[in-house]
Formats: sequence, C-alpha cells, structure tokens
Amino acid sequence: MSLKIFIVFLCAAIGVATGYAVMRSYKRNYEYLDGVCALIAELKRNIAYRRDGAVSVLRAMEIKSRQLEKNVGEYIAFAGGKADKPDISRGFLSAEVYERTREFFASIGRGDGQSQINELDMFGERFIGLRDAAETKYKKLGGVAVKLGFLIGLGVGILAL
Amino acid sequence: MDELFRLLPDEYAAPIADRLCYDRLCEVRIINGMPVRVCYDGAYYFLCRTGITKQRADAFVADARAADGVVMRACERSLYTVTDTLKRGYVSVAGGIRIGVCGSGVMSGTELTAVKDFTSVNIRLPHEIKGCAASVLLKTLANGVIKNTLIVSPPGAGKTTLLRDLCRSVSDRGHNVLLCDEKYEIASVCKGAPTLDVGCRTDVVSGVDKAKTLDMGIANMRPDVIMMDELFGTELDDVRRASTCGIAVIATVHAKDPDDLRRKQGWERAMTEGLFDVLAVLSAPPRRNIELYEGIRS
Repeated sequence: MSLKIFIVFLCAAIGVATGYAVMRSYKRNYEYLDGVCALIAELKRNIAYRRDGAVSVLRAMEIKSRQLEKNVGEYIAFAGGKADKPDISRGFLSAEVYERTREFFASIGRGDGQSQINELDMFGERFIGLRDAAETKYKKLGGVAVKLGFLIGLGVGILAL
Repeated sequence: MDELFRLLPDEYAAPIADRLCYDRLCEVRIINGMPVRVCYDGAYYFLCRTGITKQRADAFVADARAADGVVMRACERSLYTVTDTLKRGYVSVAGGIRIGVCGSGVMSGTELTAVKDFTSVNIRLPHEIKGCAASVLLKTLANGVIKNTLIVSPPGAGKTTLLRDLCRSVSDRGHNVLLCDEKYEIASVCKGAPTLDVGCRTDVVSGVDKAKTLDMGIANMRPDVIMMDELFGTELDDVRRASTCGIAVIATVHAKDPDDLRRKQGWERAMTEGLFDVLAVLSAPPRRNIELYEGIRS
C-alpha cells in the first residue's frame, strides 16, 4: 500500500515539477522582455539628458534576467572590440524575440540623439507588446501549468496502479 | 597608448606598438582605400608591417570602411554622443586624442544636420611635455602679474601642448585658472576628472564654446586667468569682455607669424589696440622654435 502511495506521490511530484518548470520558462521570458523594456527606457532617459555612451548606460543597469545579462555583455564586448556586428546569443529566446533583440542591439548608436530616441520608441512599443503578452502568459498560464501538472501526475500515478 | 590601439585595426596597432616610439608619433591618417600614413618626428611616412616606410608599395592599405570603423570605435558605437562635434569635423577621445573626420554632409537647407559615410580620419595624439612653456612663462607671469598672451602657430606645431604646460605652470604658481577646453584635448576630462595635468587650481569647462564658458565662469568661478585654444576673429569680443573684467586671457591661434595673423579677419584691430601683451610664435615642426614678442602693436 505504501509503495502505491509512494508511486502516486512521485507521479504527482513529477507533474508539479514539470508544471513548475513550464511556469519558470514563462517567467524568465517575461523577465527578459521586462529587462529589455527597462533598458530601452533608461537609454532614452540618458540620451535625452546626459547623452552618455550606450556601453556606460548598459554597464550601470541592474539586470535580473541572466540571458539579458549575457546579451548585454556580448554587446559591450562588441562595442569595445573590433567586430562589425554584435554576436548576440539566442539562449531560450523564441525566434521572434531573438530577431527583435538582435535588431535592437544592432540599432544602438547608429544615429544622432533624436533619431536614436525615435528608434528606441519604436523598439519600446514592440517590446512592451511582447512583454505584456509574456506577462499575461506567465500570470495566467504559470499557475495553471503547476495545477495541471499536479493533476496529470496524480492521474498518471493512479492509472499506473 | 591603449586608447589609440583601441581605435585602430589590430594590424595597424601591432607595428606601432612593436616598432615605433609612441612619444614621437603625432598623427595616424587613414583614408579609405589609400595607404595608411603616420606623422613620426614631424615627418610623414607610410605605416607598414615592419613599422614605417617611404615606400608606398609596402604600406598598409585601408579598407573601404576603415574610417567608419575608427569613428564608431571612438564613440564606443554611440554616434549620438558625438554628432555635435562630428558636425564641426572632429571626435574627441579619452586621453586628449582628437580625431579629425571627413565624410559626406547631410544638409537641411543651409544647416548641416549630420555627417555620414566617413571617408578619412586623422588621429591626432596629444603629448604632455612638462616645462616646454618655461620661456613663455617668464614673459607671461612677470612680477606676479599675468599678461594677456597669444600663442601663434600653424596647425601641428604644438600650441596645444604649450598651452597645456602654460596652464599647469600658471595654476601651480597660485593663480585660479578657468580653462575652456572646447574640444576635450587640453585637459581631456573623462568621467569628471582631467586625464592630463593642467594644474591644481584649474577649473575646466569642457565641450562648451568660449562665449558660454565666459558667461558661466567669470562670475561663478572668479578666475585670475582664462585659457582657451584656437581663437577665431569672431571670438575676440569675448576676449575683450574678459579683459575688461580684470581677467587675463591666454589663448592660441592658427597663423604662421604676426604678419599672417594681421591678415586674418578681426585681428588687425586686436593687434593695433594691443589686446595681447605677449605673442609667442611657434615655428612649424621639426624646428618648433618659440619666438617671443612683447608689447607688439601695428
């Protein structure tokens, strides 16, 4: 009997862990996009007043997302180096987000202050849209994924008996 | 030195680091598609794998986007930080390096709005030579009184180096100096601190034109002397304004000699009224002699 309970418990735990992993993937996607939005806002603020180089602004930012931290590091290495284009790694990013991110990093510093602000506005709109979608997904589906994982795990455990 | 190497492609940086003496290097000139040249000890050579050469065939040939690469590295890929100075033909880099830039202008009516498609760059390297202004200082600072002094020389003769040393010397002798470093090449302020020695009593205003510096500085900083580089005839009224406030002015101007200076617009009157008490005339390299004139009036 205790073995049966253990199997059901194990299956439910696996289900919860899977649901939790799904929720985490939604969360890191949201955190990444939220970080990009914060970065764009900070760049815009800086260009409007202090007009420091993008590298100094990015260096001073506190970034939660590990992937974004990595991408910012890659951009900083590019800006201080001699390559023609920034080499931005994809990590867990979806094809669309990755493409937008690459375009965003490639666009930094290519024009005068006003053109850069206009361009950042355009990227800001796009990323805010992506972030809002990711936030909805994370908040609505994240909890559901954990619950569903538990139920599926429990169901599988019971069926396995 | 590191700053120069950051700007240049690695293949150009290597012979400069390995084969040349940085202190004798004054300029690196890159024109897209043309041989790379350097000014070394006051003479021009081609840059090659083994250092410098007079043979064009041995020289590095800059690629079609070499100038663009230098400008982008100079501004750390943030063009918006340098668009204003680019419109005036240069980019300033940490360490007092000034890059002269040529490219295609984008005009909106009569106004230059941007410079694009950079075709050539001239990387000018500053040198700190402490004590080089000693002879000028004797005339400028006599009996504790600072005289209005004008340093006259053709481009590339070392007037900014002389002005920097004069600034340091006057400042370290107890006078409040207001330095107008419009092009960031005298004090080369980086993140709020001068990277070149301009003296312990020098207040530096960087990236601001002379008239605004005077507006900002005269009342608020109470300077004994104002120092400014590359004076134009149109800015002489600003010098007069400072002089009538009881503040000495030490400045530089591009001209071959006093006669050449008089031919420049606005300068004849300045010379006649004796706006400057001391004229220090630098001859072109490699001689770089300093001739001093006092109380000169036409």
